[in-house]
Amino acid sequence: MIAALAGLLADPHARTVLATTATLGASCGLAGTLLVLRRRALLGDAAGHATLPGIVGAGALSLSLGGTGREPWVLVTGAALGALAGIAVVHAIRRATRLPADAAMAIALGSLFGLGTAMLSALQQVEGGHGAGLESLVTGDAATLVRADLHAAAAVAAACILLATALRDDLRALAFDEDFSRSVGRPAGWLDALVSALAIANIVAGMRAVGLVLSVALLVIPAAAARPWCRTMGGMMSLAAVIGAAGAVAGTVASAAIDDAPTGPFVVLACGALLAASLAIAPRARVTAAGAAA
Amino acid sequence: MSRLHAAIEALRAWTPEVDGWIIAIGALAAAACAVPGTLLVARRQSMAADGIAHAVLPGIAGAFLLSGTRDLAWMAGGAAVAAVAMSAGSAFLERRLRVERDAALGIAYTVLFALGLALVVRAADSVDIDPSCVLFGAIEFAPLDRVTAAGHEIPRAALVIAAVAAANVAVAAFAWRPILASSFDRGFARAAGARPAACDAVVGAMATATCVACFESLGSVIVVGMLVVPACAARLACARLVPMAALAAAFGCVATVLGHVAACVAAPIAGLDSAGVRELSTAGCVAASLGACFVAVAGARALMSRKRPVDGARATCLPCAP
Repeated sequence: MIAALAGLLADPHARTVLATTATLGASCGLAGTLLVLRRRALLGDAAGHATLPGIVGAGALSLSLGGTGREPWVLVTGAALGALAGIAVVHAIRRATRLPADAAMAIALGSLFGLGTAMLSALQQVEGGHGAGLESLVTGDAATLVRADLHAAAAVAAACILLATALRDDLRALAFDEDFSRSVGRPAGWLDALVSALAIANIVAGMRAVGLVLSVALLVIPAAAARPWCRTMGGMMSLAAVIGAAGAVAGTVASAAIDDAPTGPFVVLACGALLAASLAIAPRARVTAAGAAA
Repeated sequence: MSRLHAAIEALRAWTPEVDGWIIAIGALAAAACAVPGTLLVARRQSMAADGIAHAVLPGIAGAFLLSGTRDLAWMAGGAAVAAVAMSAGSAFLERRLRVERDAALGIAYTVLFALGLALVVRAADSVDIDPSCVLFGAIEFAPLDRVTAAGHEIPRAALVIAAVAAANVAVAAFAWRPILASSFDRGFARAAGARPAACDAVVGAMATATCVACFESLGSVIVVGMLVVPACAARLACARLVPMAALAAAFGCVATVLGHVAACVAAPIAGLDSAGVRELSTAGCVAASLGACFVAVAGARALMSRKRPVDGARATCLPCAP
């Protein structure tokens, strides 16, 4: 493992990949803590799946306007719009009907991913469309990461740190006592929108590395692993960031050391192993106390 | 006009041997999904459908690597093991370790799905299993894989899905009263001698069997749509479980026909056939049509409740009565 890591650090491209996944892991740990404490973990899943029609639509639009259909900024914009649309659909279903939240999320996820599948199948048949390249976004392909991805991940991480620090009191009140937060006049709707926006930014920044289907794992698992060890939200966010970065590095190194090992799934498996270790080592009383507090 | 002609030509090129079977398989899948889907929605476990549909992947891929065949018994066994691991893992995280319910589900199935993707990529060199086919499905090829049953050549997928649909109806009919009671009032169900946890397991087993059967033709994410979306649309239209399941199956069939028609005519109508696009993915179009059906039902219901405020108020205030 150490030898593999040293080998990777000698190669500049591998260094970029490693730095990008580590930054993403840290940033997802931060944003995921907010999402988990607010009990919105699966909203990230719905948003992640809903990026597909956005990505394919943006790629098709760029292709029809004479572009290559694969410009990164076009795909990122499309992904963000798709994720926004997914969350908007969940809210619209909840507002218009009395269906429970999980049903609304499953409807948005299934329909929008299906729409994306249909659009992708059309784009793949267009001559010169390179639709096959978009497919790697579904499951992720870290080998294609470049310096621009590192910059994007760093920008998202910086935004997460800044916003979470600036609004920590409001976010904490919303996560632990929504009624209190509303009674003192905090804008719960806007704060929820901010938490969703941070989750979307992380999903979009991470889709080339871990893929959009697994993006929710990187948000949720580090936060769950950090919780038994922390008594404050700030501490939990910091520890989740460390665990996310460690899992991302371990997964990237493991996937580089093994043949035919896709990075995204290995990063998720490494985070899962860290979660299992954390929950196994943590004193049982602290685990259940952490659950009771949140 | 020429686009319309091209679209009509695309529909006239349908053959019962291929397109007929595609629609039949989709309709059977709708019937198979209706029972567990309705129950999952009534039990407020819609996202468990998502979890199960993703979690069967490592089971199927693992069985594939172990046995080297696409034998149904291996596939079903592997998927069952994976689905049980998913349910047990998420229940353990939630009950023993006090992780929030949705986070527990999200952790359990993403880890399993990641394992499945890693196995599939590993297996892709030696066997004909394709990661994109697993996610998106390939119902277009389902009619080609035939077996002989009762003197007729029938697609294997149709036979398997029909068997699961029949089994779902039989199991639900056999254990109807405990399932019904535990869906709406677990305390009452327990007091009346039913075991809610066992009912959860039965509904989960139905959903798992359905996912395994439909997975190859519809793809893992679209099975979620087929399970949840028609059941939710039916939930908006009626308040009793049995009509809800029947209506869900009907919505699923309608969406299948609409979806396959859309898959065939979308390219000519949009003028994309000159760019080389022939047919869209039927599974994707079926899932999108399911969404469209849901929007239509929700819209119709909103209009009707506006016209008749008394009925509308009653329909929205009553809990989902048995």
